[in-house]
This record gives sequence, structure tokens and C-alpha cells, in this order.
Amino acid sequence: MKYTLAAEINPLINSLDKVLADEGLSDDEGSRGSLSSVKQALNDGKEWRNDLADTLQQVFRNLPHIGHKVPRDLLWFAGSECLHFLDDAEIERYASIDEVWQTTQLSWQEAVAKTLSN
Amino acid sequence: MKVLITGGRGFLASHLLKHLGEHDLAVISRSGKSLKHCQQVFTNFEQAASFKPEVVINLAGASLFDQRWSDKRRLEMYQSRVDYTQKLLATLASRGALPSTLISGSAVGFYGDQGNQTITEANASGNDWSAKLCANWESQALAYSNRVRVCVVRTGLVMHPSGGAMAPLMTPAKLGLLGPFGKGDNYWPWIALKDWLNAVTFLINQPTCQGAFNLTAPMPETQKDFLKQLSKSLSRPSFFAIPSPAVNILLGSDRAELLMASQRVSPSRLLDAGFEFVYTNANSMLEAYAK
Repeated sequence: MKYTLAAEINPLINSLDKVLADEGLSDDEGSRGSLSSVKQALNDGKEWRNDLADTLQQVFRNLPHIGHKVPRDLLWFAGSECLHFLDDAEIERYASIDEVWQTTQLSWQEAVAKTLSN
Repeated sequence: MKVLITGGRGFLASHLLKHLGEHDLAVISRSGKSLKHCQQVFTNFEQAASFKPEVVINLAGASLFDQRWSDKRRLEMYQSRVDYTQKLLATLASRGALPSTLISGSAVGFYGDQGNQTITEANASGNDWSAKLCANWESQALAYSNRVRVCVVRTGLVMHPSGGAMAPLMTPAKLGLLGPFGKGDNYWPWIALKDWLNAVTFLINQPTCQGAFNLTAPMPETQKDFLKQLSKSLSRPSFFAIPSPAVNILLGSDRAELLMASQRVSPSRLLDAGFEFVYTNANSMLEAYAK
């Protein structure tokens, strides 16, 4: 794992932030505000996972009509209760990707590609 | 269209079978006994997967009203909704039989007691046991929202003289013995059965609709006003108030909470999508039922 977590997760957070912006949420409002705090904590090396999990659950429960636009990888990185929003086959697949990612010098996307090609 | 319904022996599902009569209908039912208006009855998920449904309407769940909520009963209520939905969808997915549309059950209990505040689908979930049950139930369906169009239906108190929330009220109402439970100033998120059936059909037929939908009438009534109008529609009085402690003793505190919680729910997303209710106020529905 040669890439930092922040480098892997920031693009996913940005992607979700765009989905929420398209939904009409202002950048300091509700889930977008929380997401911004998560990003800051992640970049500062502080605890971020619980807050990300809370934010993603908030999105699924308050805005379930955009649930299908939440990056699935982000649900895996958040873990805990967010795993309820992944189906069994996805959890199995992410476990395999995670193992490749943790034990090689590949980026997350490279680990995804490698796992899916096997 | 091939439609699979779970919980086929329940009050809502049995009416839905009749309502969707022109479709190719199948149900999952443990007993396997044949059902009116239904071509096929499956006893397990594997059989149901071979049906390759285009639409799944997931209504299975042990009744919240039948018994007191002991730990055993809570486990049954949880497993028959959350675990059941998880296993159903996992089986359909593993056999390449996921539908294009999933209408999955939930309830306005998702929001908990919110007093007089108007509740739309954007409101946060509550913190009580029922709210957590609903949230977990929805999660199982929403896990497939990247592959299936998922509509979770947060159903209110479905009213029809033959069943649901209204049937137990009819006998005391006809005897002139019906009155408010407690103060009666809590809001009841009622919906006429006909509108509930129409709403489900509407969601099946609207490919752009997905996410959560409150299935409640646009004008919730306070419990006291609803019961007064019910008695009036039957030309009976309504003044026998039942004090809150008595309701708690009769039903147990959890079931009493279902009647006493205040949920001023608005079906915002259904209205925004263009759905038209037959019964927007309780009086018109109760007058129609009284005829």
C-alpha cells in the first residue's frame, strides 16, 4: 500500500460531494458540511472513519433516492454500519480487493482492476 | 408483467393481489396454499428466483399489533423483515434474478414521535426501537439500489373496515364506545387502503421514482378528530376517552406507543411525482366506508 488513505479516499469524497451539490445542498449544509469535516480530518491524519460512516448513513436514510449514486468504494472504506448498504457479493469482492491492496504496492484502483481480472 | 409479492397472506398483500389482477402474479408463502388472484405460490426463495420477477413487492413481516413485544416477539419482528429481505435479495442476486423494480416495505415508524412537526421523507430517522427496525429494513433493500430501482414505502395507518388499523376500531365505534386514547392530540398518519394500492401501482409504473415515499394521506388528523369523525360517520357518539395508563396496561407500552405517537406525516415525494389521492381527508374516506 504505497498510496496514502487520503489520496485514495479524497476523490471518492469529492464525487459524493458533487452528487449532494447536484441535489441542491449548499456546501455547509447537512451531509455536505459533514463530508467537508471528514475530508479535513482525513487530510490532517485525525479520526475520520466514524464521521464518514455517520454521514453516509445520513445520506441513505434522509436522501435514499440518491443512494445509488453513493460511491460503493466509500461504503467499504467507512465500514461498520455502512456495510449494510452493500450486498453479500459486494462485501466478498471488497474483502478480496482490500487484501490485494493491503499486501501490495498497488493503488486502490489498481487493486480493484487486479482482483476483477483474476 | 411478472410480479412477485412477499407476505402474500397479509392484509395489504391480499388486497394488492386483487388490485394487480391483470399481471402475472406469484407470492412467497410458507404454507404453500393456493391464493385467490395468484397464479403461483412459492414456499422458498430459490423457487421464487426461477420465476424471474420483473417487480418484487416485499411486504413480509410479523405483525406489530398481534402480540405484546416480548424479546422473543421483537426478534421475530426483526428477522421476518430485516433478515428475510436480506436473504430474499441475496438469493435473487445469486441466481441472476434481481428484478428491475423493488418496492420494499417500511413504515412511518421510521421517524419516531415528532410531535406537531410536519414530517417529509427528508426528515431524519427516530431513535426508538421501531425506528431502528425500519431503518435496518430499508438498508437491506437500498443495498441493491445501484442495480435495482428501489422504492421504500413508509406506510402509515392503512384504513379499511375489513382490516389494518381500522378493523379493531369498528366494533367499539358501532357500540358508541369509541373515544380518544389518552389526550388524543397526537397526529395519526392514516391512508385509505384504495390510495395505498394506487400509490404502489403508481410507483411500479413511474420509472423515475426511487428512494423513500411516505404512503400517508396529505391531511393527517389528530387521533381525537379521526375517531370523532369515525363515530360520526356511523351516527354514534365519541366521548369515552381511555386514559394513557390504561392503554399502556391493555396493549403494553410498545404497542400503545404506535397509537399514541404523534406523526404529522406528509407524502411530499408522492405529491411531487404527480400522484393524486382519492381520499385527501379522513371525513371523505369515512363517509364512503359508511355507505
